[in-house]
Amino acid sequence: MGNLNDSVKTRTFDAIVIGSGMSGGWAAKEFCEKGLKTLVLERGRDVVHLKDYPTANMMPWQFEHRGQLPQSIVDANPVVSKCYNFREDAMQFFVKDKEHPYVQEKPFDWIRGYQVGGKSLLWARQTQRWSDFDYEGPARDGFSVDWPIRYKDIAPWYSYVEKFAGISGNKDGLAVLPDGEFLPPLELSCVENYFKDFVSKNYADRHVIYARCAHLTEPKQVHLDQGRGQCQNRNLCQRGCPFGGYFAANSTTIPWAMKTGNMTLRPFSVVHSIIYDEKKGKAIGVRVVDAHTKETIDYFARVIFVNAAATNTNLILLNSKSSRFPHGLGNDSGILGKYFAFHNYRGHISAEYEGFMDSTTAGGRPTSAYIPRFRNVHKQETDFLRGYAAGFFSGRFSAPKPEGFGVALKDNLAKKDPGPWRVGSHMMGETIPKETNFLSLDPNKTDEWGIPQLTFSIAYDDNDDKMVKDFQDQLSEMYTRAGFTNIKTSDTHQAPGLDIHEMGGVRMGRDPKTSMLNKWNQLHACENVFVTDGGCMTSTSTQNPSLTYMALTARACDHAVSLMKKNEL
Amino acid sequence: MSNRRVAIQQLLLIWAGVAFLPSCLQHQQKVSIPLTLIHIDPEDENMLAELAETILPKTDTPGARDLSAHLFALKMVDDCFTKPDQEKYIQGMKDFESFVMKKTGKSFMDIGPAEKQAIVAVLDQQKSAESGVAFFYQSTKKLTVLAYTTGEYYMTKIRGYKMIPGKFQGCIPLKTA
Repeated sequence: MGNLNDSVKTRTFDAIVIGSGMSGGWAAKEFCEKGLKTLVLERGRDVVHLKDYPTANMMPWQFEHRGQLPQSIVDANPVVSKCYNFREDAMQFFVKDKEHPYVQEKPFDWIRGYQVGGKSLLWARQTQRWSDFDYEGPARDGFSVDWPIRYKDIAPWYSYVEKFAGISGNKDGLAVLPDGEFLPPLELSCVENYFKDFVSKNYADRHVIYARCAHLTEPKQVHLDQGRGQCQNRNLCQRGCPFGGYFAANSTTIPWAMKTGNMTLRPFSVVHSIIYDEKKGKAIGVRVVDAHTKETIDYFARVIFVNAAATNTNLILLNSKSSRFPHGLGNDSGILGKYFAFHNYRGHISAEYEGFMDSTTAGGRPTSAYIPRFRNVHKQETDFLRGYAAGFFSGRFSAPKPEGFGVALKDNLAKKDPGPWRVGSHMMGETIPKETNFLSLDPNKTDEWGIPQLTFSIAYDDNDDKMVKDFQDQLSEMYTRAGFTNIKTSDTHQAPGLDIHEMGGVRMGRDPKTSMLNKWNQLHACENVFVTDGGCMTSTSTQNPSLTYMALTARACDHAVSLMKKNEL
Repeated sequence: MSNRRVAIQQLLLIWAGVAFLPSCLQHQQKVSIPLTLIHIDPEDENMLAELAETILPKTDTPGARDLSAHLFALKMVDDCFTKPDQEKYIQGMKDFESFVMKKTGKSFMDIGPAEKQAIVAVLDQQKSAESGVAFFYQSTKKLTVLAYTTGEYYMTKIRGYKMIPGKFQGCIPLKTA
């Protein structure tokens, strides 16, 4: 230890950010740009852009199992194996089940990426803004609590993050899905354009649009300054992009923060808890367990951002116990971990279309079309609350049939019949946060680092079941009227979690008695601790949430720095 | 090409490794690739190569043997099949030899091309679930086809695969695609 004071000094920063992914990367960038000495704690390994993407340029035939998972890996990982991206080319970016156990009081497929960049390496890159139909939802429909912000509060911050991240989209002029700062869109297919026209002609309030996505279709100077280039439409994003074509913390926010010289990035740092000082009445630092040495180390800072991904943010706060906060940091109300919610992805529909048989598509496209929410938008009109958005994709991709053997088989495999147009949609339903859907700490079980295991008590309810049925009915009707055939609907009945859109537990609100965070994402009861990842969400909307986490983070950082300048933090 | 070079290098490495083994162990390491969970004889491997080549012969495009499709199949059975399916496959392989013996009085290796095709013609009509032999045959066929359709020749020359596929065009005439 030598000189204890020196040691404390080297462990003291202006800001600590817990987590280096989708939102933590933004906190790191904002603080470092504003001149704060910032410690970024990441529980996993470093993944350096370009250098640590071992599969990025591998051809399909260079994979030992041609993309498939060895059975031993499936057997050892029953949970993460369910994730569509957990395949031979990207499994290095996922947490393996056995390494990080958790308790499922009710089934929950917890999909995690413990590394610098987190799940921003693996996301589906869909970036639709939320609107006041979302922010006013809980107040109008009487669930959760009222959001302490409205669209006008966050709109400039959506613009701010969109310009830096690079979002491809169309200005569609829809109130339910506000327009943003867009790079050019890619094309829709013949069938997608047909369906778009059909729907707008036949349904007053339904639309099919080009799904906005975080891809550089035409990079601007700021993107080139980040060292990123144009998206090459490879659709191999989950391997890490050698072009920086899509937004990932690894290619964008983390290197940007690093370039300022103000960031200290510490991988292999498992956060145990946030240290609360009763005399000062605020948090003074973060207790870390080194993932390798298991040594406990305390780091100190004036402001702490918790961006550990919704679930682990809940865990850290629940585990941050003191005599002032015996039930977890800031948890005077007892609601920490409760009102946890997610997105309902259970409903699927597929069909065929016999038109445009002389046409097809060429090239690649890392996004699809999108049907914004149309249910219960202006008023309550069904027997369930809220609604769903849906993807919409099309293409002619029939694989040749391996019929026969010998020369005949080879001839069959060489046939170039692309088959009919195939179309499909999946739902993304809003779930209602409830007290009975909650996270807690197991009283006995701990992980390898002595941290209590997280317990999940999360389930669907009747509202979700009704919504799946309505999605199937409404989309079937739209598909039928549009002339699609061979329509098939399904309900995956997948457990919550596989949507990888965990939200809540540390929700924002106006009243400290019913919420954890104020309108600036500060803990009501401990104002120098901010939560700006999925944990902060008061409701779940029907749009992919990452863009909103980014905007909330940049906005909260701006507020934190202004308070620090005024010595109010 | 580079893929084949890698495969050859790997084989050389394996052979080099074998040379250092005590002689009493050498006879256990006779199959061309290391297998962990399934066990077959070199004769089985040769038979599988012949069967795969009968299913997918060399023409003006590469055949199963050029692609080492039988070794790929063994690798997939060893790594990616469930234990019950591995057992079914290995038993099916034995049953296949008995089936051929019963039909022709010889082993698959010893019959001529026409007889090999006649055997395959029978099994090609059967569904995987019908018998152990059918499971073995259909699995081998599926894996041989997979080796071919995900192989470099087929993907680049027949399907025009490009890792960078170019800008998305949403509606072009099928003829020009």
